[in-house]
Amino acid sequence: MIPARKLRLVASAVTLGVVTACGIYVNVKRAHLAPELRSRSLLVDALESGVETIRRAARDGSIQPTGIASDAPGMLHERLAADGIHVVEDRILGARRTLEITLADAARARFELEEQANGLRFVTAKATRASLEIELRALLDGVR
Amino acid sequence: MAMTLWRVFRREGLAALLVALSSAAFFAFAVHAVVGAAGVSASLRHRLEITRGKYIVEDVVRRALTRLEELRAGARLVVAEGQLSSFPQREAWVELRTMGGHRALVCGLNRGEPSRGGRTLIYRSKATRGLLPPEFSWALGELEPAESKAGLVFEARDGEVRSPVARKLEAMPFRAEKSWSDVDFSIHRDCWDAREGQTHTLAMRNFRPADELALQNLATPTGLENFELGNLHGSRVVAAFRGERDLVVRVKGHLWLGRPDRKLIVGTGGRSLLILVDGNVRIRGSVEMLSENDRLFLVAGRPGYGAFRDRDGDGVRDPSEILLAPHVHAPVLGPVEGGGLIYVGDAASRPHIDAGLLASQDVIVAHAGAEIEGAVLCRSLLRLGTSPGALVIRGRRRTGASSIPPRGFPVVPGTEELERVQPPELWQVRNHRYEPLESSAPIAGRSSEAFD
Repeated sequence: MIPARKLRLVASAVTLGVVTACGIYVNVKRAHLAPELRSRSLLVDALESGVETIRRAARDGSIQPTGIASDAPGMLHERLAADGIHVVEDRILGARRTLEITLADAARARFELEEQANGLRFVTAKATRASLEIELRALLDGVR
Repeated sequence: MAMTLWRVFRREGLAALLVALSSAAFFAFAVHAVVGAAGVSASLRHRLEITRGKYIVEDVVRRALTRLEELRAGARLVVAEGQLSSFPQREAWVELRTMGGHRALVCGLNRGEPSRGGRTLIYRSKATRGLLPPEFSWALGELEPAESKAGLVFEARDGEVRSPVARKLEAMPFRAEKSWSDVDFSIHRDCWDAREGQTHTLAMRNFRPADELALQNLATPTGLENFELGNLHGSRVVAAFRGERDLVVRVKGHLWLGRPDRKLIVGTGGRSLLILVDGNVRIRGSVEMLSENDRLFLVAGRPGYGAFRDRDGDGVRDPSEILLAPHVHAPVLGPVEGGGLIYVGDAASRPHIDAGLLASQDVIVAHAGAEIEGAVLCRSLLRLGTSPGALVIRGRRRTGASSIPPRGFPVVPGTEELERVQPPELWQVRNHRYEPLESSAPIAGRSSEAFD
């Protein structure tokens, strides 16, 4: 009986230890997961805000009617910076312009502006974070 | 012996109880963590779906507005979601509805099969009175294009000269009666009998009865009454409208604007002024807007009115001048002088007109030509004389940050409100009326038919 009792006590202690370890593990994971999800939500906020900023710039002529590349140098960058979006690279290739950006929490993302042959212009915000791809695509000029 | 067993049981039972309690607490904790994370994740997905839907709706509404007359007639337009959607061919619908006393464009995006518990995301956007068709963003649109475009110049806003590109109107806008009855106020002879009792009195005072202009300038009196826009102030004629929103006015007669020796200055408080004129519009002199955000649009010819091709521009039909039908299969109605013609300038002056023009019949430009800063939409564009002066149609100048036009020619009044579809508002129908849902969650399990 005594060996069995010892065995049960040892088993109980081991179980308790395993449960406690698992609890600590889940808690640590949750502690990491919650901010990650919150930051993803903030990332969507930032991308949406950036899309609106670019569309405002297009509306008041900062992005000129002809093409997508002829705004006054830096104007669009400054506007985005006011929203906490910093442009680190601005590439123009044909009818496509790509703005590589960093956000306040150092997430990397980009805005793509493109003009189609029919004159429609689009803005696409793309970001990848922890294997999650977020993409928002909208008309650059809104409803006309 | 019994005491020993009790002690053993108590000791081992406590240990087992401790293990069981801690295990239960752990599992509860784990479930909470997983459910909480899943909830946040679902909320994020929902948020992305709503935001993407908003952009899709903007595109759907943009395309639906090309069929504005059908919307006005109460039709539910079914439109493909388009290239902003992951499923471009999936159908969305758009309606023009009255909600809470205000007109709204309502757009539904179907998500999932209705028979399998799919839901419809309902978005709504303000539809302001005076909504104009997208053709007003063109330079020149003709229903029956005139052949000669010699002397016609198109200029972009930046001064770049482009080759004349006239477009063909598939249908004449503003042919629905409802477009002419849903106005802020009407101008007619009776207004002056009881003017003090009218609302919009200040705005109405920008018009005055002007039958003497017809008697002075035309060979015969007109069948419809005549009104002039603006009042004399020093060397100028001024019309000042101060609206909180875009304004739509109907003139039940002919409208005269500008004078050969005085320009007309129109202020609209940064908004758009749309004037629907039952009869003809005669622009005799320059028309300028007070500020760069002010906009004026003139539409001539109420539904059902016909006219004649006034090749000599005298306002009287000669036997050789053909009748122009009123765009419907009905006898030509209207006054003998016709309705739906816009006369621009005269032989001596070359006016500068800062307004968009839509004539259900012809736009007739006098010998000296004109400069028009806005769209010209008509059945045909006629220019008088054997060697008419240049007609320049110029894209409207860029406006301030508070206003729109992003590119090209002038934009639609009301787009300030329409341009950005409002943040998603989800609605349900009770007692045949739309009511906002308190929850911002999607309406799961509802098909679009649930909103009829």
